[in-house]
Amino acid sequence: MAFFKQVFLLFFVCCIGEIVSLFLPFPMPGSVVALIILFIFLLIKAIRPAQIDTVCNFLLGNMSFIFIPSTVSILAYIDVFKSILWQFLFICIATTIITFFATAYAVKLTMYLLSKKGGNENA
Amino acid sequence: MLNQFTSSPIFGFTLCIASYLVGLGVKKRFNYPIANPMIIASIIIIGILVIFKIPLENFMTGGSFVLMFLAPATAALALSMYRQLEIIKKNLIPILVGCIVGAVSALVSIIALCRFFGISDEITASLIPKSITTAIATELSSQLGGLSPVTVAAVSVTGIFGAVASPYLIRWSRLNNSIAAGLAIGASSHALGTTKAIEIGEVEGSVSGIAVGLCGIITVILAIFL
Repeated sequence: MAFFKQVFLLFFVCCIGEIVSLFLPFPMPGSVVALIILFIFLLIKAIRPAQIDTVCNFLLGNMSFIFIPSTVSILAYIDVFKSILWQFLFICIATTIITFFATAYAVKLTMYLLSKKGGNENA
Repeated sequence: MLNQFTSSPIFGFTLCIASYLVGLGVKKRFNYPIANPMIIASIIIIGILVIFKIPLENFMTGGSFVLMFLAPATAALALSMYRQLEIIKKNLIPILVGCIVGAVSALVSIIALCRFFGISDEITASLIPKSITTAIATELSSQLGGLSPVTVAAVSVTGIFGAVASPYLIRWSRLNNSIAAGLAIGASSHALGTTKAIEIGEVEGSVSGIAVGLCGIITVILAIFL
């Protein structure tokens, strides 16, 4: 019973997300709308973590299981893949490194500027 | 006979669970990012489909049941972000700056490199969400007109590379800053990278987890303008 309540609550928020996404003036996946709605509900304490934690922990802990069918579907695009394999791998790896360094230095710079500002105010 | 059996949803669903169990078993024995249960499971299933000449559509009648859980799993990320609320409050500006810079730099570098290699629009659309978590990435990919299987492959390569390389990237960048390191891991290599970040340190793991959710949302918002 308790478990079904948890499942219902989470899926109900997902349904709201799907409906809201239909009415948004810009494209946004229903699941992402549901993520934002659930986060707001948690913030305003409309939903308490204890009301959804069992089902959420299960999904968060086994997320990779859900992607198996999508990965298997690569079979249908094997020819597309063969033709761009090296470019594909290069792009994946290079952009990961670029994103890593850009983020890391942006945060470091921001924290340095913030601490400098904070320091001046204290002085 | 075989065709009749494999086109029932129970076949694809059971195959998913069985091969995932094998994947989990392998991961338990060799605790290394490349021993990813999802990839092992997918290779097993692809092998079985090819060897027994089972059409992909037959497998997907069961597979689509599994896919339905994509949306609630994405929404569940809200809880994992909420659990980090204290850290978010304390470091709001660095976290926001990091996630915005991360999402923008991923987007720009992917589009630029795809143009450079003359990659088709369809594949480019599939690669654009490659640094965000698979749940959001596949949705965004189909919204942009991409192929979600190509997106899953790109997200996996990115995550595995990130999980393997991030300790070296942290060393080479001479960060000495747990928050910067965690955000960089989460922004560049999503949930798979986060598993490594958790090993590196508690703060790294937490902020990396925040970056996974936040970068996903920011990328979706940025994609509105593409």
